Amino acid sequence: MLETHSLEFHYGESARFVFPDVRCAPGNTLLILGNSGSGKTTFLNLMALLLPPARGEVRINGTSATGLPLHELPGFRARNIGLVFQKPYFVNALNVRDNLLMANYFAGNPPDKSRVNHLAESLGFFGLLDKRVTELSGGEQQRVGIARALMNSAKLILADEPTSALDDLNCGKVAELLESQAKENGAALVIVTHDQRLKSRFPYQITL
Amino acid sequence: MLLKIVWKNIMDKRLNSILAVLLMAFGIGIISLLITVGKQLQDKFAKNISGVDMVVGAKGSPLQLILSGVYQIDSPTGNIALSELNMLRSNPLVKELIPLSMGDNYKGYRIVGSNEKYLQHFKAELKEGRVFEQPMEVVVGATVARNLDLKLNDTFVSSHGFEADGHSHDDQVYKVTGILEYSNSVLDNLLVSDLASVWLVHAGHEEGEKQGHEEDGDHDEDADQEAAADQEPGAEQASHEPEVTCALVKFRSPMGLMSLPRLINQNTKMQAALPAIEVNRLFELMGIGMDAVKALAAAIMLISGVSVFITLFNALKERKYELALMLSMGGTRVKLFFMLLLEGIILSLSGYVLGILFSRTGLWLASGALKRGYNYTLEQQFLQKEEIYLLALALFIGIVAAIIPSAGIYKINISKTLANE
Repeated sequence: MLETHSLEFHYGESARFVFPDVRCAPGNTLLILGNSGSGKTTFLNLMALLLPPARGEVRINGTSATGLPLHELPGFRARNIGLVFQKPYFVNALNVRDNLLMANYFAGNPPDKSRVNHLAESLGFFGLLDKRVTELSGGEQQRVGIARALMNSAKLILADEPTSALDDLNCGKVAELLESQAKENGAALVIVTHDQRLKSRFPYQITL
Repeated sequence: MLLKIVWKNIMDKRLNSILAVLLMAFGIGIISLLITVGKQLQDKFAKNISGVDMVVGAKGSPLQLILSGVYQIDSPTGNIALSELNMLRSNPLVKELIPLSMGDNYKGYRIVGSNEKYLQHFKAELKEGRVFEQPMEVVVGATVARNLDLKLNDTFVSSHGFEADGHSHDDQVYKVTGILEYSNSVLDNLLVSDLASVWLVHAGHEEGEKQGHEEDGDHDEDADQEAAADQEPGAEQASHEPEVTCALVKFRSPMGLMSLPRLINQNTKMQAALPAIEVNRLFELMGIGMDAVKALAAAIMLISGVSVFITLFNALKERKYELALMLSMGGTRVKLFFMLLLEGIILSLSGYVLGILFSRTGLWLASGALKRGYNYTLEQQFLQKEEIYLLALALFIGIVAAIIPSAGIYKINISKTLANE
């Protein structure tokens, strides 16, 4: 469950961004559309607590996340937010399974191997668990990225351009998986994108 | 998990890691080998020297006299008359005088003619049997007995000189009456008899050789060579005045040190050499070479540090995204800093372990070579104090090399890096 209130961010004096208030309930999907330079990535970073806002508040699961002390932020983020990136970054030296378990480790949770298997099965890459991430195709990598965002049962999934590097077929698959997994896990899903292909898919959307 | 990530990253950069580890291992290995070998040699040298204040022998190189008389590793300088020694023995400053007579060997191990005091000097104890009581009885050092499989009451004939394949004295047969315990001294590699045995063997030998000369005039060359190479006792002596090779002298007081060497060198045909001074000179000469090699090894270790630095620095650039990802997933910068630091530490530590293994293998090989060449052996030892310092040095180099690249983790801007701007 995500709520933002009168968020603002400044890059120096010239570039000031004022963002609309948004809400997203568990199981729902919010699509945030915008062209390059509209500040949509900044908005996502604010919601992901990766950037501190100049003004305003981000509430996640009823907690005022922007009010948390700095040293508690990484832990709070790890437990409550799952991030899906445009380019699925991985630790290339580790195999797929360890990349997923790493999410548990950094969140301070015990490694949940059964969840790895469960997610790998429902996202369709069970056979790839022991492969190195660099051996995977773009679509496969993005599915592993989604699974990683779900490893700690996050209540908020933030996806930054999750489909813009994919072809139409994979774009549809990934969007569908994102939505169904978020629903299944009772998580609020926020997708920030300029990908017009997703417009028709998610009815609840705002444009920056 | 953290260790797994560190390990996988090291394995991912296998070649770089191997280079860093090998460089460190070579540096550590060379220094450690020098330290252990140098230490053991110095120990051996010091142990054998202890109690011997002065060595007297024929004129020549004082270092050679010490090496042959105390350590039994060089050829003797020549012979001296026993009568001259006896005059020295009566000097009130002399506490003890042990005459030594060399010239023969059995299968490469020297036979030294002396008296019981020589055994007592090294606090040698008999493992079995008894000390020699009459000529041609011999007490065998522990290493000799083990390597040649000599037992009590075994008999053998000696060979002339110090090479195993020298002319053999077939007419006189030695008999083993005692076998010594290990004393970790030069005694381990010797066979000790009384003085008379050596005279007896060579008296016969001389006559035999003279006969040979008479029968065959072409033998001149051989005989000359033998005499020159082996410094055989009594070779040129027509008279049968008893001779010995040298004598170990202990003084009654430090006054002896002040006056006796000069007295001997100026007034007799003998030469006096002080082991402490000669050995120090030897180690000073060796020390220059050792220091040069140590400096080289330290430079190699330093290069290993540079290689760790470059590996990690490049890795940090390449892994910028991975690190930003870990940060976004809840990893703290402190944790990731130590993760990178750990890579450097693991590399230098494995270099250290490998280096010590190199050093021990080298020690083993050197011991084999020394055994063949000089019948000296080196022992495998546990970590030396200096090697603990080396460990600290290796860790220090690893940490210093890793700390600058690792600190780069504090410069990563998560949102910018992940947004790929």
